[in-house]
Amino acid sequence: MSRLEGKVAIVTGSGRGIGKAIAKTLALEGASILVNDVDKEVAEATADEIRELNSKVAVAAGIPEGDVTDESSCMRMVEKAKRELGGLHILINNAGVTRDKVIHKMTDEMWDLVLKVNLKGIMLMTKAACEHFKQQRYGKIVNMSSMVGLGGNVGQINYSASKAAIIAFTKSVAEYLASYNVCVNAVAPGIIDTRMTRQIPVEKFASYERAIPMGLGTPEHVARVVLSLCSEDFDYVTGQTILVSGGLII
Amino acid sequence: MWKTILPSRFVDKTVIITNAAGSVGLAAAKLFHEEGANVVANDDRVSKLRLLERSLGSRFKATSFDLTRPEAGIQLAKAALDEFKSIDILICNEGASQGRPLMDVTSNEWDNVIDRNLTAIFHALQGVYDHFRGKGAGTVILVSSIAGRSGCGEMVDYSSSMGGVLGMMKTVSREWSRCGVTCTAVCPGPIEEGDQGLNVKFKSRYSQTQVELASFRNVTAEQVARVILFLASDDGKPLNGQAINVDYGLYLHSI
Repeated sequence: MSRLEGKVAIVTGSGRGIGKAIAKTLALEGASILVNDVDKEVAEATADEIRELNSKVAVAAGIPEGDVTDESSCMRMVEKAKRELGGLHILINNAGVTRDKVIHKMTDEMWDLVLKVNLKGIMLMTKAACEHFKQQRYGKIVNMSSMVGLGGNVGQINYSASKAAIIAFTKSVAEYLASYNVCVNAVAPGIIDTRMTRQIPVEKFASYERAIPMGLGTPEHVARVVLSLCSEDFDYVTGQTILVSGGLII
Repeated sequence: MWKTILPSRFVDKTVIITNAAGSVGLAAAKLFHEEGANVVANDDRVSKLRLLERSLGSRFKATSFDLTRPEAGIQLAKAALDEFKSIDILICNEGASQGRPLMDVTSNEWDNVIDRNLTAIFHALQGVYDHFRGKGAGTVILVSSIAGRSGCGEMVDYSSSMGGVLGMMKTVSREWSRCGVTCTAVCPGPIEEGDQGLNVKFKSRYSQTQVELASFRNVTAEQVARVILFLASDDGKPLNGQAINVDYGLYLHSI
């Protein structure tokens, strides 16, 4: 099946983890991919793997080229996709960071960084792609929220604020772009086996793992949901947040 | 002889209210004071608060710390403790509302709204933490908006920040429960005394519901404040991690 034949996607933060799985899953369905990450090395590695799948690839990585918090970099990424890959149809706002600490121990730097990358980065990328989507009267935007955005989490006031804000952002942009045939949705992963969640203390991670009825999630679990949202099956669905947590939260 | 007995749920309690010169903040300050609370009202629009101070007399302190600065949360808590020796309730009523659609939001405007509506609350929370932990009790109430739950295409910055407030509320309710502190939020719909331009954008978001809802009207700042008082009272004690819509049913779709 080639559900995304002829489509071009930007996947932010696709050097590792969920972003990488999304990039590869979309490529397997025929999409050309602009790989983005602040880490050049991992971005190139993802790009190589996608080339092996016989998909077209462009890379915007490192700083400032791959920095989603830099407005001009975001605009250049959109231009690059159009120039090198022949268009832009799908934007996956996946790039995100954590800086965990309980509220009274959290520094302003930790707070600011998480809000900047996770929330402002999504705003800037969406803004950069928005006019193009409006003009072609087609677009799919998927924003990466989190289970934590729905329910909060100890030690993550910055992360949960950013991820809850993304849900409201998704609904706002969905309303704004609906009449242009642009779908904007969010995915809220639970505990997925990535470098980010492996930073959770081992005991806490194990207790999460035991609590998930369907077992620990993989990046591919999330990627397949994102793929569906980008396919024509979801052409009439917008502004929604889909929780992907294997029954951890129902 | 009959004597009017005022309700007095908050005698000997101290409440801090941020953005207190806003419509909901002012209404809450008056009602808390009326019910016996010591009120610390913070806002950079301090002249409005001075007027209130003159009309209320004792048990009221106006402050004007800029909560977007990291040290201001600690300074605000200290000012409250110096004056009243204790803090029992923190109401964060931030609501900078440069509401704009996505394409019109500049990077600086975005930062400004996030700073005022999210970062300021983070600082206010940090300020009261030691005191709340020390006495093993406290109530935090954050003022969000139904725009934080439903989104609003005409004001992406404002609604995103209000969604963020709900994420913070839930994290505080988890993180501070071990210290005996609860945290809840209210989500008002269009407020009668609020920014009318914003109300128009707000209502356009829910045009269909308004047609169906015979009972719909704007809420008043006092109505919102009365729900806040309920949440801060003993009756509201079991509520934790919840957001209450105060909107005459305008956003019926929230679960």
